[in-house]
Amino acid sequence: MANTKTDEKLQKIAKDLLESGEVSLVIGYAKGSNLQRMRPVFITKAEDAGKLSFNPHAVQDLAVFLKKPEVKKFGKIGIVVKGCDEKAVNALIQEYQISRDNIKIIGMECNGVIRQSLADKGETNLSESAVYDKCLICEEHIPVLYDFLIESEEPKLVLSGNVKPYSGIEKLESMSAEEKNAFWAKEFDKCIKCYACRQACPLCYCSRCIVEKNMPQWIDTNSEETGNAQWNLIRAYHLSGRCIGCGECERACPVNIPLMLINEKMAKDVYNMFGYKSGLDINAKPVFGVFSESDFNDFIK
Amino acid sequence: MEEKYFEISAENLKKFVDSIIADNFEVIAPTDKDGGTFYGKISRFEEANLDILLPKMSYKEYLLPKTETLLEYSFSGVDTEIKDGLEAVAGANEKRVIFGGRPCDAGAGPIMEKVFNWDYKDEFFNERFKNLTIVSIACEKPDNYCFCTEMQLSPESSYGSDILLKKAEGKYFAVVTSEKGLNLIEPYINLFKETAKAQVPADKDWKKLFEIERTKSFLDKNFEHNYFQDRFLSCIGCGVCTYTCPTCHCFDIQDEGNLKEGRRIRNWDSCQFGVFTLHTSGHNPRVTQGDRYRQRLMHKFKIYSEKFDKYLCVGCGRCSRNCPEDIDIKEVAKDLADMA
Repeated sequence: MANTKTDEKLQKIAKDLLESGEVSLVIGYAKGSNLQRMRPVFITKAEDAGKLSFNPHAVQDLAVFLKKPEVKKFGKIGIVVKGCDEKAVNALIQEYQISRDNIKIIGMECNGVIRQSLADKGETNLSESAVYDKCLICEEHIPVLYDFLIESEEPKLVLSGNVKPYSGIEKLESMSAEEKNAFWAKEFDKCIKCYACRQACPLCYCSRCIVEKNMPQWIDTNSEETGNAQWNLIRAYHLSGRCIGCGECERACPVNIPLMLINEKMAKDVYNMFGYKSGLDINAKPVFGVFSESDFNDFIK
Repeated sequence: MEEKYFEISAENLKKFVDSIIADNFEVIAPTDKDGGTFYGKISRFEEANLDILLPKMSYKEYLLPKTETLLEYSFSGVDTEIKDGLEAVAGANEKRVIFGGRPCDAGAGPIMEKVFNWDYKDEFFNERFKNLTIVSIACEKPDNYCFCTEMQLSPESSYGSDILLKKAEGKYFAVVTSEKGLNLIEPYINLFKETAKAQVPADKDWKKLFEIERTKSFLDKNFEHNYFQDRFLSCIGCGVCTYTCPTCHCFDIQDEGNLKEGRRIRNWDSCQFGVFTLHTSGHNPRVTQGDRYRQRLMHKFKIYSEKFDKYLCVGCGRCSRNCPEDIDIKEVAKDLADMA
């Protein structure tokens, strides 16, 4: 397929960055295994910049690669990000996982990405019912931080309000503890412990995950009631106040566990309790990394 | 057993499935649930989704559960009691039928069976495998991720199926390949009409995109190659390929329990994980994701075929469809064949 104007701008920026030696790698998107799929591409030579492309099928959060040892080796890296993904870059900077000086952010204005499950059935139009829930509540169509910005050629998403994003959260909030427990027991029963949620997460960067620690064995290894619940709960807690809502865990999950209900609920609670949203400011201290006298403390009896 | 051939109308096929359910068979079929299509227990024929090409997960869990108890122990303070996990598995699958799976999924069973009966006879696997009855449906329209034909099967292959159904002109032809299959239909034989092989529509001439032997020959000669490191930079090591794969069978044996009671279990495991092959010393011979994806390719397209004369892949394409980063194994296998 022919290059769009967006593609051309993107390719020019990447080419210049690589030619000038400002970065030794550009992580971006290229055309994937079918017309409705994009895939990550790693450009190290200016002459390969022509592979870069961007459209509403660019679902992956490429910030996930910044935690990968094989990628870190490149040192100075350029990365193509949507607004949501860019928040992951910020959170990684906040948590001292990467240095702002080593990263060139190529920000894409984004009006939403199409659910892969629909795209695989041929959906190509950006619409309220075709995009992910995260796109419906997105406040960062233009990334909050960037070195380069490429404006979108796509029309803005028209929201009728008929599609209610993360409507499951309200339902869960209205449930009794027993009902909530039953809901999640049924969902976690599906879990096969492939850990795709962890691997697809840009902020799950522990070099040794707690499930891999066995002296003592903190988390039951089984993929049954106890092991699955322990795993999903520990991950929820480790991500609360940190999750930036890219939704990659849920997209990667091969058994369709609605993981974003957990993450969004945690994010909502953190915001209500501490007025903090993750990934918006590289100079902010992570919410669970600081104590403030104004923090609510009525749980201390 | 010599193959037998039957004709069955769409209406009778429904009656057949509803009848075996009524006679207490657990029928596992592709069914719409959890925002997708998965294999699951159906309580009537209509719940089966026979239009879907392939459910997101394979039905491997009925041969190798995601967690299986091998033994349980309890300690009273004086005596230790051990209970063999095999007792719970005895007879498992005797009344279980996988209905409406595809020839690729069916092919996975007999391929895996080889490694489970190699130097050690795995009684757990064998007990489940010998009893599970597989009724598959031939594919009419494979998609672009399918490559069973390249993997020595075909969209109409009966390998591994006890019964293969082929749809033609609004009815079905049933190719019965085993005693197990024959026993399943016997009580309902009035719904079937025996026919001759010549009446069953011949297999189409399915074309191959590449020769898997060439992929193997590349792997034979190239343990170290830039392709692996470059191409799989985009692999995030999530394990979805291995967990949704019908033939990947790695497991990890773990003990769970305390002084009083506990059990030894085996859980699904994956060669894509960072701790795969990590030595106690800290050394890791498969240290990069490129090394680990190569491991998967080597195991599927080289090592297994050298040991067992079968490739450890049925070409179902699940690893490609389900890969969050769009790594397409068919494309990769073809790339390797082209470079050979």
